Amino acid sequence: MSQMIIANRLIDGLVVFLVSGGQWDTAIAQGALIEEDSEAQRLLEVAKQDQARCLVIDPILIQVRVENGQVRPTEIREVIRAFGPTIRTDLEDTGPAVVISREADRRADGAGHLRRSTKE
Amino acid sequence: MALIKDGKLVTDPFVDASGPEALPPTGPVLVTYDQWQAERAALLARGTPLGIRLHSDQPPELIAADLRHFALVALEFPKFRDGRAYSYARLLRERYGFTGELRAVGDVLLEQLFFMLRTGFDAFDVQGADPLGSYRTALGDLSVWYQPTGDGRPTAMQLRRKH
Amino acid sequence: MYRYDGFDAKFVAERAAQFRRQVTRRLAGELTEDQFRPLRLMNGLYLQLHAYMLRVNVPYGTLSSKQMRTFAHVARTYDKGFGHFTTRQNIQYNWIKLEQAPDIIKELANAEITSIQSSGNCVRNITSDQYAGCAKDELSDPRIYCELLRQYSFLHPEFSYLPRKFKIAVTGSPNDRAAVAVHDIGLRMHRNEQDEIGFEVLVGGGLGRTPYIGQTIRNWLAPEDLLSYVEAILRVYNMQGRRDNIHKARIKIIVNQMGIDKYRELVDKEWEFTKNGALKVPDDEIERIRAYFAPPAYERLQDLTAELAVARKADRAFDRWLRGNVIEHKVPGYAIVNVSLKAPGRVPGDITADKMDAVADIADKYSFGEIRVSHRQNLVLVDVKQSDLQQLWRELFALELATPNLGLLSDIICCPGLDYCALANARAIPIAQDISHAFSDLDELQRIGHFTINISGCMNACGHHHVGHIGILGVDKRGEEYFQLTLGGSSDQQASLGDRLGPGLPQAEVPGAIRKIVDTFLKRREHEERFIDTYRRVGIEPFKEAVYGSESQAA
Repeated sequence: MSQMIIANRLIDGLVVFLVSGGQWDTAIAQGALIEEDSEAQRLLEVAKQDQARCLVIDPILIQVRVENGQVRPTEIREVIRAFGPTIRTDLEDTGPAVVISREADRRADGAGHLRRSTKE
Repeated sequence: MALIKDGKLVTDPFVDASGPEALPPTGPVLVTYDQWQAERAALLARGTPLGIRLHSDQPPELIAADLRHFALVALEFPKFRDGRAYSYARLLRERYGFTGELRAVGDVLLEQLFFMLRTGFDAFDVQGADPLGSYRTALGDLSVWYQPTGDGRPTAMQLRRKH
Repeated sequence: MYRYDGFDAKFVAERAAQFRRQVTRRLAGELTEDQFRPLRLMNGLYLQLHAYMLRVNVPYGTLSSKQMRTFAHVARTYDKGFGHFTTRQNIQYNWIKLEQAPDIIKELANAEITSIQSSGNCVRNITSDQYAGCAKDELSDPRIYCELLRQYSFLHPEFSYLPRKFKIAVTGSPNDRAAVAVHDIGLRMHRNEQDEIGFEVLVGGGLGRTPYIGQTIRNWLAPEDLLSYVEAILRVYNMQGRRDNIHKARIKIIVNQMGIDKYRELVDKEWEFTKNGALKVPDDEIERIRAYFAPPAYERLQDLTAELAVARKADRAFDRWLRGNVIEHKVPGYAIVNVSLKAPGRVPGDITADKMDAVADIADKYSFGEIRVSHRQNLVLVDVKQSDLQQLWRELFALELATPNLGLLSDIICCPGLDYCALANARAIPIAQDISHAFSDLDELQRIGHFTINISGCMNACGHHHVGHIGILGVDKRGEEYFQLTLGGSSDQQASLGDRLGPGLPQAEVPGAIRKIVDTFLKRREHEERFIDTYRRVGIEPFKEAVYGSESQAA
C-alpha cells in the first residue's frame, strides 16, 4: 500500500494533494505516491511548512492503492474528499435538480417517478 | 508582552509575585489567590498597592468581601476559548462595584478586546508587533451594541427609544 | 417581517468589514489557523471535506422573496448552483472560497441576512415555528420574541465564548413544530392563571452524544423578563458549565449533573440581581418589533370548502397535495402551503438556485413575498389565497416541489453526512435517497400515515435521529459504514427519545429493515393509529423480532 499527502488549500479550501515537485494539485492523479515511511515523514514535514506558510491547512498522510491505473484512497472519507460527494454524478453545474441517486441510476426510474405517480 | 491600560501603552507598576521568587520588599505586587489566602496579613502590612490574579476557575465571589484591598484584579484567560472571565468581569464591576484596574491576562486575542472592554476590563496584557495599533483597529471595528452591560455604552434599543 | 433599521444595518455592515479584515490577516499569515478558526466559525464559515462551507441564518425561519433571490445569487455566483436547508433553519453552501467569503457576507448583509453566530460556542440562530403568525392553533406570535433574542444574542460580549454552542427555540403554539424540548433553552408560550401570555421555560434539552429532553425551569415567565431570565441562565452556564471535556460541555450535562432544582436555584439567585435592571424589555420595544410582524393586507374572504371540493374531485393529484401539504390558516379564505424539498430520490433540503428564484417569484405572486423554512427541511408559503391553490399547485408541480408527502415517511430529515461533513462517520444522504425510493408509492405513504424518519451521519445528531419515529445513526465500524436504528422518538409537545433497536446494519440492509418495521406496524396498528402511538402501545419487541429475527432478540 502507498501513501499520499492530502490537505485543504487555505485560499479556497479545495482538497489538494502534494505533488512530487513540492506543489499542490487538486487532482489525486497528480499526487506523489509515497512508498517508504521515512519518505512519508519527510514529505509531511515539507507539507507542514506549507501550512506554516499559509498555503494549506491540516496536511495528513493517507493510505492509497492503485486500482486499474487509478489512485484511490483506502478510507471512504478520503475517497469522498478526493472524488466528491457520492450522491450525484454531475457535480459541476447542475446540483440536485437532475440528480439521480445511485439507486435511481440502477433502476432508471428515478427522475420521472414523481410525475408518473402523481398523474395516476 | 505589552500592557495597554485605558487605551495607552504603559509600564506595568505591579511586580508579578506569583512565581517562586520571594516578594520584592517594597512596591506594588500581583499575587495569586492562594498567596492572598496564606499571607493576607503580611501583604496588607506592606502598605503598597496590591493586585490579585484569579484563575478561570476562581470566581470573584471568593474575593468579593476583600475587594477594597485590591488596586488591581487580573482575570486569567488560560485559553482564549475559556470565556468565564467575561462573566467574572461583569460581576466585579456591576455587582461588587470594583473600580480599580481590571486586567485581562493570559491568552488575550486582539479580536476579543471589544468583548473585554464591554464587560468591564480596562487593561490588557497583549502580544504582537503593534499592540496599540491593533488595539485601536479592534476598537473601531464595531459601533452598534445590543446588550446593556456595565460599560455605559448605549445599546441600539436605548438609542431607538430616545428618537 | 422584521426589517433592519439604521442600527441593525450598520451593525451587520461593520461586522462584514471586520470579517474582511480578519480574512485579510489570515491570508497574509498574521493569524494562525488556530486563531482564525473561532473567528471564521462565528461568521458561519467551516472547513469541511471538500472546501469551506458557509452556514447562513434564516432567523426563526422567516425569509423574504428578495432574500431568497440573494440565496440563489450566492449559490450561482460563489458556489455550485444549489444550497442545503438544515434542521436549524439555516442554509448551507458547500464550496465556498475563503477569499470570496467577505464578498458573500457583504452581499448577504445588503439583503439583511447574516451568518453571524451560525457556528461557534455562542447563542446560535434562534429557531421557531415555521407557521408563526399564521397558524390557527397559535396563541401568540413567537417571532417578536425571537427577534428580541436575536438582537440580544448577537455578539454578546459576555457570552461569545460559552463552554459550547447554545440553541434557543420558541413556539407560540401548543402543537410544537419547533422541537423546543430538544434545545438548550426551549420557550413555550402559554397563558397563566391570570390569563396573561408568557413563556414556559425549558432548559437542558439537546441531542448529540448524550440526548436529553429539556426540563421545565420556570412555569411562566413574563415577556418583559425574557432577556434578563435568559441572561441568568446563560451566566450560570458560562461560569459553571464544564470546560474540561468538549463532549460534556453543553448545558444539558450540567443541568442533569446538578439536577434541575439546583440549577433553578442558581438561576433564580442570579436573576434576583438583574430582573429589574437594564434588560427589562419595555412595552414600546415589544410593540415596535410587533409592528414589523403585523399581518399582511389580507382580503376579506370566505373559506372555499365547496369550490375546492369540486376541484379535488376532478383531480386526484391536486386532492392528494391539498390534503397532504396544505394547512389551515387562521384567516378565512387563506391557506398555509408546504413546499416539499423531499421528492423521491432527492437530497432532503437541497434546492437549486433556479428553483430558489422560482419559489421567490411564486411567493411574490401568491404569498405576500414571504417564504418560511421549516426545521424539517421544507419551505412554506404561509399566506396563500385558497382561490389560488390550484394554480399554485400546478406551478409547484412543474418545479417538482409538490411531492405530497408532508409528515409522511418519505419526508425525511437528513444531515449532509459523510458526503460533505468533516465530522461525519457515515453517509446519510444515500440512505435517505434509498428509503424515499423504496417508499415512493403515494397510496402506500398515505396508508402508513404520519411518520418521521430522521437520519444523522454521526452522533452529533444534526439529523435529529433521536427524535425520529425511526432514527438512523451512521457509525463507523472498522472502516465500514453501519447504521443503528432507534424507534419511538418524537420532537413534538410529547417529546421522547428513541430506543435502540439492535446492532447496526450495513447500508444495503437499511431500506429492508424499514420495510419490516412498517409491515409490523401495519399488522399491529389499531384503527387509524399513528406509528408512534402503536409503538408506545406495543413496545419495541415486535419490531426487534421483525428486523433481527426471534433468535437475536437479545442482541
